[in-house]
Amino acid sequence: MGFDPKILSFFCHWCCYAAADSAGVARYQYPPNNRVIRVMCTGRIDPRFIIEAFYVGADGVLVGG
Amino acid sequence: MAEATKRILEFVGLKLERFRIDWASAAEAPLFVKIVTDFTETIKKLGPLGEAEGLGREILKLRLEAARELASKSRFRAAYGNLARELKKAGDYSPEGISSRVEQKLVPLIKKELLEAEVRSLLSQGPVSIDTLLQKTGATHEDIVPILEALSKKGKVEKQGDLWQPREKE
Repeated sequence: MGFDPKILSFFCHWCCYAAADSAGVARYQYPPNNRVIRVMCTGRIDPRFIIEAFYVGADGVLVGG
Repeated sequence: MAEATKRILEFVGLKLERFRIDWASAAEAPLFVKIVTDFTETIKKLGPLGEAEGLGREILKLRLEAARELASKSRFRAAYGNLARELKKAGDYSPEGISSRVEQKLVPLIKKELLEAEVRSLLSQGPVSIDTLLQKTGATHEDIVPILEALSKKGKVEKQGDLWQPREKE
């Protein structure tokens, strides 16, 4: 498939971000389409962020708590 | 938060699969990998933004711009904040409870403000007929007429024959 999606991810520093880190350490393979933004807590995320993400051209938005 | 965002995206016309909120703790690397892989697959299947939705670039831009305006509007922010306070007070965090409150308090506001922003943006480009407005916003006739009337009452637009156009400033 030629299409390479742009996915914007908001990861919580204490949960998903750490999980991503340990996934890297353990050498798990996962798709490289994510652009990660680290937030200190998922509660920081606002509807505005998601809409802005789509507006600037993300094909999908993933919020990881 | 997720519920309100989903409702906005729904009115914009995007597939809700494009937005996902999920949990994986720091110790759950395999789960995290699964979430990311699944989500990437979903988006790959949907294709670029707007494709699976059948929305053209121009319309997509119009609607997202309106959504952006809505999300930073103080009326929406206030309603959103009040809703959060109300949820906290009631202590009801079940998905059904949240969803029904969002439906009640936010959805009418979202619908109205989004449509108004779209109409204003379309009108700012010059005179348009009501059919074009309906087609571009994807709204129904009953929804759009009150908005045009409200705008014309404020003196922002006027009707000339079949076309609506922005009112010249005197």
